[in-house]
Amino acid sequence: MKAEILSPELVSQLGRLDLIARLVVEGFLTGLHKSPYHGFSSEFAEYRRYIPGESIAHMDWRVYAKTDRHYLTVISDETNLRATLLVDCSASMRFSGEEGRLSKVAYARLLAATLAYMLLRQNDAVGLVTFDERPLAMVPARSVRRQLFQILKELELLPVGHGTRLGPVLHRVAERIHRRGLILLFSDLMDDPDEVLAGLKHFRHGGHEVVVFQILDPREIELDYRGEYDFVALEEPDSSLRAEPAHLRRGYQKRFEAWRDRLRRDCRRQLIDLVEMTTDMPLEKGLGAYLQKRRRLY
Amino acid sequence: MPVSFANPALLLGALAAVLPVVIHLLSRRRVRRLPFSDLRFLREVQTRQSRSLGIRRWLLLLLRVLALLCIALAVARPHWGGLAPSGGGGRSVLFVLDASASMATQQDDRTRFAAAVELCTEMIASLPDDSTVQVLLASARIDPLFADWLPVGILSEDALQALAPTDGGFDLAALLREAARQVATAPGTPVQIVLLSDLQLAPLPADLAEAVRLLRAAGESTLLVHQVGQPTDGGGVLRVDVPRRAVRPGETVVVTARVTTDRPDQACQLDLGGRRVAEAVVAGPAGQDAEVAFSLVVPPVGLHAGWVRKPSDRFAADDARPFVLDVREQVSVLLIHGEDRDTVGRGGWRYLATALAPDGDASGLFRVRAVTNTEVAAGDLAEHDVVLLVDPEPLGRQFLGGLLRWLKDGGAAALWIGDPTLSGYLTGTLLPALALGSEAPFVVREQGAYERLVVAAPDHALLRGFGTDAIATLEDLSWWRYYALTEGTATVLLTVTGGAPLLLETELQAGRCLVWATNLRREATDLARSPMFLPLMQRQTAYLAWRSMTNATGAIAVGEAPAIRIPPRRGRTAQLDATAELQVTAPASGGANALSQMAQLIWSGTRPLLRAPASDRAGFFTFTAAGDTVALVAAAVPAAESILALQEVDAFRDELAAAGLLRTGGLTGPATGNFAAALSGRELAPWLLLLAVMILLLESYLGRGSERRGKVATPDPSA
Repeated sequence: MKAEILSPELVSQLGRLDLIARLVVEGFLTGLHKSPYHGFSSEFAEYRRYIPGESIAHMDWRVYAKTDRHYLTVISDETNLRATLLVDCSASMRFSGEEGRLSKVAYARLLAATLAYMLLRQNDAVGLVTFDERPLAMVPARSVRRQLFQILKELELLPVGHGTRLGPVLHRVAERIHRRGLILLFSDLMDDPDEVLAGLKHFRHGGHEVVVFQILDPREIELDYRGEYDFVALEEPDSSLRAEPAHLRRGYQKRFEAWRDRLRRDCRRQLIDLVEMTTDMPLEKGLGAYLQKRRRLY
Repeated sequence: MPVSFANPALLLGALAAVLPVVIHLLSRRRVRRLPFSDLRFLREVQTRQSRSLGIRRWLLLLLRVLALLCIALAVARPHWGGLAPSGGGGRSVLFVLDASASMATQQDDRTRFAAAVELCTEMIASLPDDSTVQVLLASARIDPLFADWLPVGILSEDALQALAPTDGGFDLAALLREAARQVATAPGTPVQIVLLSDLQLAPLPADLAEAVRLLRAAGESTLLVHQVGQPTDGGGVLRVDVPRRAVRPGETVVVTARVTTDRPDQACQLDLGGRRVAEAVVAGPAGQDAEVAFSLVVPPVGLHAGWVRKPSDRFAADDARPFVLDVREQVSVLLIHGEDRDTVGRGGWRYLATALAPDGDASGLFRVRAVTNTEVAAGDLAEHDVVLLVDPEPLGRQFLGGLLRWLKDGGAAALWIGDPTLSGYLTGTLLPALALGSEAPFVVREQGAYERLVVAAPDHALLRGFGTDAIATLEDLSWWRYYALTEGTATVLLTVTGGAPLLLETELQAGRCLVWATNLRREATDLARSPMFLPLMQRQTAYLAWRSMTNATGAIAVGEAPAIRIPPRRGRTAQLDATAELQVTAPASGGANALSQMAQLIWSGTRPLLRAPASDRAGFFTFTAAGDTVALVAAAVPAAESILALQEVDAFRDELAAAGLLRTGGLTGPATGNFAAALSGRELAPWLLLLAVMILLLESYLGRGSERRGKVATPDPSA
């Protein structure tokens, strides 16, 4: 079975996350012509003097800059990649624009499970943090086989969150992840862009590579409704707005796109990969984005 | 009302216009609750657009209502300015085809009448199926084409194609009277009367207002006028004048004609008895209104039919004009005089008898029978063409009554009064009976104090043709004794230098009488000794004889019914009596193919009256009895039809409006479309539908609001 034809709605009917993750990953890998795996991550051991004629691939230029001598970085221990999955389960992530379509949080859960499976399959260490306006659950990154079941269990028990305060949450999480690794954020980023970027920059400052999966519903983007509606904010149930979307559509789309442009621009500046996904996209797109990041890194 | 509806019941569809309002009101209640991820973008946009949204919403509602109204109105098929039938029945259209002579004018390779027939056919074809139609053929006589109103479906085009214009005029008043009759029997009201005419410029009839009143009283009707044809150049023979006196065979006379030329130096000809006998040329440029004189040798005794012709132009009917020349063998003159009494100046009648029949010549034009009052009876009058009364003794009541009847029936007489002893009888009886005044003092001038003669009417038929020397000779005559007559309604032909009338002409219905205020005795005047005496007396008698013949050989206009009191001798020649079978051939198409039918003979008065139905063709009515032609009447195209000027539609309409016709429509240009527009009005449905489409497009544009052109094809989950 080709992975491209597995819609999120279809695979979600399988029920068990482990099966879903396996199905998606295996199908995805089967579809590739060449294995995207590039070995394991390495860890620094010591420096040794450069002997002329050797490859300069592992030359430590910072040492050279300080001492004016040539040293090579010696890799003493090869370890797995440490990846942490950050899943936003705030109220806004519960939005589903159409009956039968996955909500954003459900989609994020599937995508996170799939990536966790893939990472563990290649012996990477994977951790999980769920949050709304504060961190809700945290599974430290490990590469053991049981880790997958731990993560999937947390994802299946994903709580219904409240409001979003993405910036502070990211700061708090960044403080608790000390070892450098890969941060995979699954969120709609529905918060103040400045705060979101500040939180992400915190990860970058800690030496982490960051991939943000921005998950949106197509109807959030298009505002494709007819008639008159009372819009009720998921994160503020007491706040509503009566409007005819048809008359607001153009202005809404303009502002929404400006917000997304801002996120794209800021992420690019911070060397953060922003993967824009909608809940009607195949999950494989998320896997592809991850593998590309992996390829660039190693 | 300028707007009418073909399907007024469908106007109920306009109630559908309330649907958008209802939907709008219902949809306002159906506000659905929609949980949404984040409202900040919506809030930003709504604060900017909420105000315009309210306006736009109402504007959309208005546009939807308007669109539905337009569609509902279009379905009801509204017409602007039409003449819709009332009561839901079919319309009745009365077509009037002007069949007067001018409609035969050739234009654009066909006659105006053919164009009118074609237009009429097209108009009938364009009528709705439930319409009923009647067609009137209008000329001097108004003929309905069908016995009754016919539904459009069973109307045959052949019935129209077989029609042709007549040589008659156009009687608008008669037309309106017939139209009134048709309107009264029309199955639908109002009746649309469609007049297809060239609107030949002619004076409106005096009884037009009365005809209009009849039409209006008959029922509701409207008149649409369509002018067929344009003004065109052309000429015609407008009048023919034969000598206004009795003529003798072999005599050379002058026949004059009034001709309007259409070419320079145009030649005209005179035909008599089917042969060209004279020609004349109107020299000069085209467009002249000239008097043409033909020199003609009078043919043998009989009634002669003749034509004066000019070369044909676009309108041929007026290029030939018929006339009749009556050549009598002799004029029978009855000369009645009183007893000769020299003491009172009587006996001058002999001069007169000698002047008419010199030396008792019985072979001349005049055969004179001189009798005294006592020898004559009223019955004798019918056998004579002219009666001359010279100083008669007081006439008996019976004879005077007979004389007056004979005059009124077309007789012609001359009266000389110069006996002063008869003053009482003259002023008390005879002069008033002849429509002259009752006071006539006798004037006596002494020798040497005479008065001269003055010619007061040199153009009168009695005097026209006399040369200058002849007139001078006449005016050199002296007068001593005469009655100072009161002219009254009479025409003064001669006077004395003092101004008193000397010769007057009075009309008594169909008859004429010349009255001399003197007699012929030398004590009164030296007329009898003048070289002008003989020609003047012969001319006078010939003139009177012609007057008495006029009714037998007159000229009428096409469309008039000939009614002729024939001279008694002609009647006797034909052995007319109460049982005589009198035939008349009337002019028909082509002139030669005359239609023979029974004529009406009425024995009343002193002369038999012949009557025949009118014909719509120019030519001759020939009355015959036992093979003899007893009367000949020329029927000519009315002069008004020859005047090639057309009246403007607006002017015509204004005149009708002034006569009381309330509403008239105008049809101009190519007719069928205009007719449909005038009859049914301009159809508004296509424009309304177009307007509805435009409104819907605008509504769609506004309704899309801020929608992008490329919409996401996802169904509305809340729908």
